[in-house]
Amino acid sequence: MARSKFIASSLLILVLLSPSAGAQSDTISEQDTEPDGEYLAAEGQAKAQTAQNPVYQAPNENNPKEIQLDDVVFNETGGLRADPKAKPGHPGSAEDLHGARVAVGEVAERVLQSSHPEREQAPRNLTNETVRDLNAGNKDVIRALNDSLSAVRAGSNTTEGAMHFRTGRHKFKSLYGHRATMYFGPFPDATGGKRYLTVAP
Amino acid sequence: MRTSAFLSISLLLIASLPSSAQGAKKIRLTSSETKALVQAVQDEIYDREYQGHFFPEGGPVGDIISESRTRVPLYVDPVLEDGEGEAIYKLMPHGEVLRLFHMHDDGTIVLDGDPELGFPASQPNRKTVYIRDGDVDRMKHTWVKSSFEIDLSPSPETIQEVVRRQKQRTGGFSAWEFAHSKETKKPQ
Repeated sequence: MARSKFIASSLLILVLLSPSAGAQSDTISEQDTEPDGEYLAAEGQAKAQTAQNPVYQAPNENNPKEIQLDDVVFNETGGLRADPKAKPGHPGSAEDLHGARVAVGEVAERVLQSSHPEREQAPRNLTNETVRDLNAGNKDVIRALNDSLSAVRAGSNTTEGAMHFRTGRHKFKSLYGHRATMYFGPFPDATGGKRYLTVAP
Repeated sequence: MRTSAFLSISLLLIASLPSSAQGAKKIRLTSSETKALVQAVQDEIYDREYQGHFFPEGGPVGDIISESRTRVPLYVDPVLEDGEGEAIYKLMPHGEVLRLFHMHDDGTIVLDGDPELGFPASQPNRKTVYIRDGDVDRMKHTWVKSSFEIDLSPSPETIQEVVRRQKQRTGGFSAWEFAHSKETKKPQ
């Protein structure tokens, strides 16, 4: 009996001492159970050079819809950064961040085209701080804006008609009572902390 | 006997596990850090020239101190998680907001998010109207209650200091300075 307790205790300790047990788990915190709510154009060397010294790609000035969506996607995700420690294609990577922007762009476009385009999301124009950062040649902001524009131009349906998204410190089980269907992140936030993006139908 | 001793040691080991292994490093906010937060909140209001919105016709937002000065409640989560904290306060003209903030290594507090985004429900920095009443009540009752004062007409010297501190916090951006410059066009 004592021997079985010893084995059970040892197993418990091994599990608890495992570095991945807590830190890497994707558990959704209690707080999140509320029902509510670079991809670069060129390849190879050109790609690397562009990543190091990005040039701002402006949206088509004759396409107001593209300008609006570009600004919404940037305003919703502009503070997010790709985690340099994330493996390519994995959560938190540059590819994952682009996927998050594509998802936000898809949902934002559906909202703007819906019967209730007034539903609040981030503004359809850039803030003064972003304009200042652009004028100052802030590379992170230029990359984020270029990535947002590319996401808007993707014209995809990765979110399969989803109508809701939310950025937070944690993942959300559901939004508006709809079980979440996609998660992105965690991404480091420009100011600090980490952020996830949750998408729901 | 040996089993119980082993269990005791095991419990001690579990208790001594670093909090980072459980997902986040948590520390308690000190009073000096709360003061730094108060200053960050005040500075942003003056830098954005929001102070007039705290004095609408009919009565001020917060508790009146004088005709041109008001005290506004600030509720702060006493626990910082990985250097990130939360606060609830009235940020006019937006209304009451749940705001994240970050404590940097030098003790500077930087507020998260850009007020120009309007604190939509899709963002972690959001108006409290988008949070369940019960949750807002619980946070206000369990968090540390502090306050900040707003002057309707801060002196030019105060504004200069505000702009200086804001630029330190934001990497060089001051909304006040931007608004009083000619830099308003998006580069093409």
